[in-house]
Amino acid sequence: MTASTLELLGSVNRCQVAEMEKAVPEAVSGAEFFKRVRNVQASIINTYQVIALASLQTPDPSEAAAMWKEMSGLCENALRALRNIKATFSDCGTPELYDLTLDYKAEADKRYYQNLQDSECTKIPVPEGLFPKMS
Amino acid sequence: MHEDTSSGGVVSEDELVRLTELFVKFEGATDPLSNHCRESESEFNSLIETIYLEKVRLAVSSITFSQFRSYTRNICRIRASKQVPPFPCV
Repeated sequence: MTASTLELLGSVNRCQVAEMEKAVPEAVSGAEFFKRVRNVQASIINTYQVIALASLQTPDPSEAAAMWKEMSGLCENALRALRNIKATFSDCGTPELYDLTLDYKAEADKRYYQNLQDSECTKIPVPEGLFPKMS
Repeated sequence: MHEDTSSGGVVSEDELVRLTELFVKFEGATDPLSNHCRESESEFNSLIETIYLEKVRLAVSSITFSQFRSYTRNICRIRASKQVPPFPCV
């Protein structure tokens, strides 16, 4: 995945979160709000899937870490928005989305920090004879 | 790049093949909350710990478990990046 594709995906996702966040009960029906919640849920699940597959295509753990950081940022943005609105629209799937997003953020963070640690190890030579030789 | 399976290391080629399979299954899992993902990660962790305790620690005393885990993950990542991307529906 190129940096610009990742950026584009991030822009789309931020729009979905912003649409959900700007809803107010006076102007947005429960059904419409539910649709926006569903869109954010789709963004989170789909972006996770794309990043999981894209991160395996790079041999560089620092690039993989950058992808997972983007996923964590999406979750953080959604959680921030949900904290503000989940009490207002409590019957429209917000508690469930909040829990799902927390779980996905924890998984993205775990992968981000592990790949960051892996990238630090690329700077230290692997001891001779530890792994089968690659020719 | 081609791996020469005749040039062994403390970690065997068979172990690396299995670790790479598991790495792809959990790191590339499309549902991180699935049993499939969790079981693959758990098996990867168990296998890497066993290899470290039974072989690596005795052969290369200077290496920590954390370093070994990262070195191994990096090799699994290089191998995974050369494979056809796994599709979620397969």
